Amino acid sequence: MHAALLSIFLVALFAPVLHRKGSLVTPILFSLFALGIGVYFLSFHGSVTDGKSQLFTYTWSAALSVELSFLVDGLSLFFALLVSFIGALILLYSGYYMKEKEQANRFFGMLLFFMGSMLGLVLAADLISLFVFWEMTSLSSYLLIGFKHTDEKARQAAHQAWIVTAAGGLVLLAGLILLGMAGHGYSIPELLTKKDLVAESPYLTAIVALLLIGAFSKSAQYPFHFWLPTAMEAPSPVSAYLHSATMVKAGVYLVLRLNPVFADNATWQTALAIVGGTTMVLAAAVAFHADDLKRVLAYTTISALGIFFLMLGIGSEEAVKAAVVYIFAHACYKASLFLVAGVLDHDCGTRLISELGVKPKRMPLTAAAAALAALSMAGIIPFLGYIGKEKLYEAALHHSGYLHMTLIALVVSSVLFVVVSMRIVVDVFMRKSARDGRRGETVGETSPFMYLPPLALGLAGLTFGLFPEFGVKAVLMSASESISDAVKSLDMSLWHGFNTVFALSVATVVAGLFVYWLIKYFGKLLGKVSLFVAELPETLYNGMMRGFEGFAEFQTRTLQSGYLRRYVSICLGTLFVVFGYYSARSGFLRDTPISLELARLRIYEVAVLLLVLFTITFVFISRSRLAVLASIGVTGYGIALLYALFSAPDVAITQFLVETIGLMLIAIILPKLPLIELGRSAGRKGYLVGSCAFGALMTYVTLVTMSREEDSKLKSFFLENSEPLGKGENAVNVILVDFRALDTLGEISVLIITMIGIVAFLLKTGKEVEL
Amino acid sequence: MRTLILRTSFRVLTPLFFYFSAYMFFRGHDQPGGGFIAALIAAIPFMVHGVAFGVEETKKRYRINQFVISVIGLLVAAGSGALGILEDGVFMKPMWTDAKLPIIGHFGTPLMFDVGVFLIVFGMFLQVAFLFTESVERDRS
Repeated sequence: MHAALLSIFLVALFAPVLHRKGSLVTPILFSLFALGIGVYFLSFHGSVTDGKSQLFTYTWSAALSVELSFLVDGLSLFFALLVSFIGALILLYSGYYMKEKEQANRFFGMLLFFMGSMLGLVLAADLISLFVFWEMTSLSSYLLIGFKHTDEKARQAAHQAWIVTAAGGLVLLAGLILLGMAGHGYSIPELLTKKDLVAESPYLTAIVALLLIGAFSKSAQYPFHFWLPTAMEAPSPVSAYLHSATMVKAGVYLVLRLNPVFADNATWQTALAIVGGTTMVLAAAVAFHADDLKRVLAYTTISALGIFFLMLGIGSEEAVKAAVVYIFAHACYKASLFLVAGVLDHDCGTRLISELGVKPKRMPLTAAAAALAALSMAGIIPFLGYIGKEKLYEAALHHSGYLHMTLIALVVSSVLFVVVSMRIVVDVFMRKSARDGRRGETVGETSPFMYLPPLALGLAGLTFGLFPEFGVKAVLMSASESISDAVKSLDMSLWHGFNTVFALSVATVVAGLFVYWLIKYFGKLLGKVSLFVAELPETLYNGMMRGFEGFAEFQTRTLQSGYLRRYVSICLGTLFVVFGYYSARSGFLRDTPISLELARLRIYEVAVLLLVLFTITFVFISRSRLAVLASIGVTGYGIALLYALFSAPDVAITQFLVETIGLMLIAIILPKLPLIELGRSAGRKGYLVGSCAFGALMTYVTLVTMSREEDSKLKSFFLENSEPLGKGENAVNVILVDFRALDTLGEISVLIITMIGIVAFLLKTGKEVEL
Repeated sequence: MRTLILRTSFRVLTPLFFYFSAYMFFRGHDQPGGGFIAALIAAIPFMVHGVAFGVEETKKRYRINQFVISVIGLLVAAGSGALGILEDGVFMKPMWTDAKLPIIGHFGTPLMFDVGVFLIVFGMFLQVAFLFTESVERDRS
C-alpha cells in the first residue's frame, strides 16, 4: 500500500521530465499507470465486500503517536476506486486537451500529485496523516487552478481557492487535534469504536463545529462555496477531476468517515441538514440561470454536495445509502459533463451557453456523451442518476422532521437539475439557430482522446443503472456499511411499482420541463435574486481581502519608509523598550551588584577610549560625509584595538577586517549617494539621544553579565575541552567549527539568503545583474 | 578610481594577500585566524581589482563566479556535517585523520566545514562589492 502510493508520487515527480510537448504517448502511459493503481485497489474488492477491512501501519512519529497508516474498508475503497479510475480517464483526456499548451509536462506532474494526495486522504487511517494529505490536495488544487499563470484571473481564482480551503484546513486541524485529545489517539479505526468517550468530551460542540467548518469549506458549502465557481478558470480536465468528481468530495468523505462517531449528536445532524439543504437549493437556483457552461456545472456540483450533507444530516439508514449511491452517480455524470464542456471550450472557443449551438451531427459522440450524462443528472429511468434520486426521495420521505422541508427542498432542487440538463442538451446541441460557436463550420469531433472519456463516463451511468449487480453494488453496500452500522442491505433495482417515490420522480421531470419553458418569462428575476444571495459571501470576502491589503499598505507606509536610518531607529527603539521593560521587571538584572573596578584601568586604555569618544562626537558634528566616514572608521579601529588589549585577538582581527571592507564598500558606493549636505537639524541630535540611550542600556546589560560571569561553566568547559575534544588550541575557532558548528551553519545559510536578497534588490533597481 | 597607483599597488600586494589569507586559514585551529578571517583577507584584492580594472575584467581574468562559490561553500559545509551521518548517524559528528600533515596539521570534517565558511564569506563579500561597483559603473557610463 505504501509502495503503491509512493510510486504515484514518484511518477508525479518525474512526469515533467518524461513528458514532451505534443506527445500523446506519455499521457497514455500515465493513464495506464492510473489504471494499474485502480486494478490494484480492485484486488481488495473481494475481501472488503466480505466485510474484512485491512490496515497498513507505518509508524511516522512514535513520540507524537502519529502514524502513516492506511485503512482499506468499504468507504475508502469506494473512494479510492473513484479517484483512480476517473483519474485514468482524465489523464487520457488531458493528453489531447493539453497537447498544444505550454508547460503541459508540469500539468501531468501536478495531476498525478493530486491523485496520490487524494488517495492518501481517503485511505488515511490516522487523523494527522489525513490532514497532511488534505492540505496536499488543497495545494495541488491551487497549482492546477492557477495553471494558466500568465492569466490574471486564473491567478486570482487560485489565490481565492487557496485562502478559503487553507483557512478551512487550519480550522479542521484544530478540530482533529481536539478530537484526538477527546479520543486519546489519532487512529481512525480506534476512534470509530470510541464513540462514547468522544461524546463525553467537554469540547464536543467545538469539535463538531470545527470539523464541519473544515468540511464545508473544502466541499464548497454556503457560505464558503464561492471559490468553486471561480475555480472554473482551471483547465476543464481539472474541473472535471478535482472540482466535481473527487477533491470537493473530500469534505463529504470526512463527514462520512467520522459519521459513526458523531451520528447521534444533534448539533452534527442539524448543522449538516441546514447548511446542506440551504446550499442545495440556492446553488441549484443559481445554476439554472448562469450562462457560462462550466459555472452552471460548478453550481450544480455545489448543489449536489449540499445533497450529500443533507442526507448525512438526516442520518437514517436509507439516507446513508442514498448519499453513497448518489455520490457515485454524480461522479460519473458530472465529470462527463465537465469533459464535454472542455471539448466545447477547446473546439468552439467559447463556453457561454448563449453563444454555443453545436449541431449534434457535427459532434455525434460528444453530443451522445452529453445526452447520456444529462439524462442521468435529470434522473431519467434507467440511468444511475434515477436510482440515486429514488433513494434520496425515499430517505427524505421517511424523514418526518421540519414539516417535510427536506423533501420539498429536495424536489425543488431536483426540478432545477432537470432544467439544467435541458439547457445543456437543448440549448447547446438542439438549438435551431445553431451557429457552431465561434469557429463556424469547422467544428467537428477532434480526437478519440476527447470524446471517449466523457462517453465512457456517460455509458457507465447507463450500464450501472441497468446492471448494478455488476461489481458496483457490492462496493456501495460495503461503503454504506462502514458509514453506518444500521445498514443491512442495499436494493438498487430500477422498478419498485407505482408508489409515492415514483410519482415524485415523474412529477419532477414534468415540472422540470415546465419550468424550462417558463425560464424565458421569469428566469431572469429569480436568477438575479438567487445570485445576489449566493454572491453575498464572496462580496464580504473581497471586502475583507481589500481590508487586509489596505492595512498592509498602511503599515508598510508607516514602518517600511525606505530610509535605512528609520529602519535602524525602529529596530533599536523596539529593542530598547522590550529590553528596558524586562530589565526593570526582572530581579536578575536589577539585583545584581555592579562592580566597576575603575582602579584597574590602564592609561593606554583610557587613551583609546578618549579617541573613540572624540571621533564619535565628530560624527555628529561634521557636515562632510567623507569626514563622517573616516570618523566611523577610526571608531571601529579604536574598538578593535580595545579587543586586542583585552586579549580577544580573534575578535580584534575580525573587527579590523570587517571595518576595512565595510569602509571599502562605502567608498565604492559613495558616488551613488545623494549629494545632500548633512545639516545640524534637530533630527540628527535626536539620533544622538537615541544612540546614547541604547548604548547606555547595552553597557548596563554587559556590566551585569560581567558581574555574574562566575555562574557560567561554559567558558571553562570550552577552554578545557577544545584541545582534547576539538583537536585545536584556539577555543574560539573550535567553538565555531566544531562545538557550535550547527549555529555557524545556520548563520552562513542566513548569509546566503542575505546575498540573494541583495542581488534581488539591486536587480530591481538596476537593469541586468549577472550572477 | 581607476588610478595608476591603485593598479600598480594591486600587482604588488595581491600575492601577499593570498599568502596571508592561506596562513590565517590554516593556523586558525590553534591560533587566532580561521575561515571567516581568511575569506575577508582573500576577498580584498579582488574587490580592489574590480574597482581598479572594472568588474567585467575581474570576472573574466580570474573566472570567478562568486555566487556559485558561495553555494558550493554551503554544500561543502553541510556536506562535512553529512559525513558524520554516514559514519555514526549523527549530523556534524567531527571526524579526524590520525596522521598529522605538514602545514595543515590534522585534517578532519571541522576543517572541511571551515573551508565551507571561507567560500561562503568570500563569495558573499565579492558579490556585494561587485554589485556596488557595477551599479556605480553603470551610472558613470
